[in-house]
Amino acid sequence: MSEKTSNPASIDNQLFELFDCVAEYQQLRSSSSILLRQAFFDLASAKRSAGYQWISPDLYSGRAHAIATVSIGEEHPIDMRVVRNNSRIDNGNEKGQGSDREKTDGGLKRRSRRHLSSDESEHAKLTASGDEDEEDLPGDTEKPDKKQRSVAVNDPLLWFGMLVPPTLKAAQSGFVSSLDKFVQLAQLKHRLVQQQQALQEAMAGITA
Amino acid sequence: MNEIYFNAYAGYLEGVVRGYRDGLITAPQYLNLTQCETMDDLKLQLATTDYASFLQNEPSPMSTSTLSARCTDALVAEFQYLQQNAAEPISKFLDYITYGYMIDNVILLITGTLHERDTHDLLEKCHPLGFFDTMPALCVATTVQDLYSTVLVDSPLAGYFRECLSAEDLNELNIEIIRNTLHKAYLEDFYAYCQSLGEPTASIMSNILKLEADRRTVNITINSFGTELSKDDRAKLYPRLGNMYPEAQTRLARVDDIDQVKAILEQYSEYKAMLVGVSLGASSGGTGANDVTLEDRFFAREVQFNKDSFEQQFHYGVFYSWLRLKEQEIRNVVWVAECISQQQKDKINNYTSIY
Repeated sequence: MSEKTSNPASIDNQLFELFDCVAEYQQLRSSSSILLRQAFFDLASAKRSAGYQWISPDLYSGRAHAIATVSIGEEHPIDMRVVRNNSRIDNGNEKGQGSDREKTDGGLKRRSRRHLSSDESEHAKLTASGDEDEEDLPGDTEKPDKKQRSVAVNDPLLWFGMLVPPTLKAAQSGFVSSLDKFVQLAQLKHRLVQQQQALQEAMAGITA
Repeated sequence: MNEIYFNAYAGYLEGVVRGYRDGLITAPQYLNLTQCETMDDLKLQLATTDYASFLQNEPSPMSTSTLSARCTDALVAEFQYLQQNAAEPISKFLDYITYGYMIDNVILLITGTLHERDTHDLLEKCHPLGFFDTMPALCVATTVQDLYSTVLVDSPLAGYFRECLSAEDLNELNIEIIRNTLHKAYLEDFYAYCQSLGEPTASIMSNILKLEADRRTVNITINSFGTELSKDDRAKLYPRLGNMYPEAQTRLARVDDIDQVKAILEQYSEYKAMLVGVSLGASSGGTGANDVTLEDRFFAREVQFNKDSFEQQFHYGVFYSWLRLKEQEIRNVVWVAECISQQQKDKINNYTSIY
C-alpha cells in the first residue's frame, strides 16, 4: 500500500480501476433494473390474465421458506454468493413424484400439531397415520416422503395452481435471475468502497 | 309472448342494469386515465365514475391491489342490489351467475388450507358473490369425498362434483383438475339452463358461453405446457361446448407447443381472423407498445358479444353481459394503474376499450 501511495502513476492506475468498477456497476445496475422491471410487468400481466384473486398474497403458503439464500463470508464480507437448495428442487423434478405424492400426501391433512385445536382432535386421530407433516425445519428428522412433498411447496409457482399463465412463469424466471445480479451488485459496491478508500488514502499521502 | 310478460317480473331490473351499463367508463374517460402520472391523479379521475364513493376514503398512496378490491366492492354492491330485488325466474338466472364465484371460493379455501393459511383470513378474501352458508366448513375436509359429503352436498355446487369424485387426495394437481372440472360442469349446466329459457336469451347466452368455453380451452392448453398435467387429463378439462368442440379440442389435447395451437386455430375462420397480428409469445398487454396477444383478442371478442347483448330487449343476457363488461372495466382500470405505478407508459393503452 505504501508503495502505491508514493507513486503518482499507481494512483492513476487506481483511478482507472475505480472508473472501470463504476462503469461495471452502472452497467450491471442498469441490466438488473431492466430485468426486474420486466419481471414486475410480467407479474402484472399474469394478474390481468389469471385474475387478481388468483395471483395475490392470499395464496402464499403458510409454510414458505427460502430456497435460495445469500451466504456472506465472515472474514471477507465481499465473499457473497447465492446458495440454492438444488437438492430439493431436483427432487421435485424426479419422475413419478406426482404419483408418489398422491399415494402418500395427506393433502389438507398436512397440518402441524400445534395448529390443531381441541375441536379438531377427532380429525387429528383419523389422520394420525403418520401422514401428518411437520414444518420442514433444518435439523428435523424427516421422512423421505415428506421431503418430496416439501419440494412442491417450495416452488412458489405451485401456490397459484398448476395451470398458471406463461407470464407468471416468465416473472418467476426474471426474479430468480435478478437475485444473482443483486449479489454481484453488492460485491461490486463493496469493492468500489474499498477502492475509493484506498484512493483517498493515496491522495492524502501525496498532498501530505 | 315473452315480450308481453317480461316487464312484469324483470322490467325494473332490466332498466336498472341498463343504467349500470350507461355508467361504464367511456373512451374519453379512459384517455384521461391514461394521462395520469400518479395513482393520486388516477384516483381523482375515477372520482367522476361509479367507483367514486368506494375510493374516496382510501388513503394515499393507493396500491393497485386496493384499487382492484374497491372496484370489485362497487361491482358486488350493484349486483347484490339486483339479486335483492329479483324474483323468480330472474333470481334463478342471477344465482346461476354466482355459481362460478362459489367454485372459485371453494378452491381458494381448500388451497389455502392445504398451504396452512389461517381460515379466518381466507374467508375474508373470498369473493362476496360466491359466498354460501356451509363455506367455512370447507377447511376441515381432507379428501374430495369428505368435501362432497360434509360440505358441498347441500350447496348449489353438489351436482358439479360428480365428475370430481374420482380424485382422492387434495394436492396441487388434483385441486387444479377439480377447479377446471367444476368450471366445465358449471359452464355446461349454465348453457343448458339458458337454452331452456328460450329465445332470445338462449341465442344471446349461447354465443357468450361458447366463446367462454373456447377461451377456457385455449388457456388450459397453453397453460398446461411444461406441467405434470397429462394430455388425457387435459382433454378431460375442456368444456363440451363451444366452436372448438369436439374436433379442435381433440387436436388441441395432443399439442405440445404454442405454434401447434396457432396452426390449429388458423384452420377455423372465426379464430383465423383473431390471430392476425397476434404475438403468441408475448405476455398479456404485449412486450411492446403495440403487441397484441390472443388473450386480448378473446377479451375484445367477449366485449363485443356483451355489448351486442344490449341491442335486444326482454332477455336475461343483459345481466350476465353487464357483469362481464364491468369485470373487463375493472381489469382495464387496474391495468392502467399498474402501468402508471410501474412507469410503463408505453404499454398503458393495451386495454380493451368498451365504449
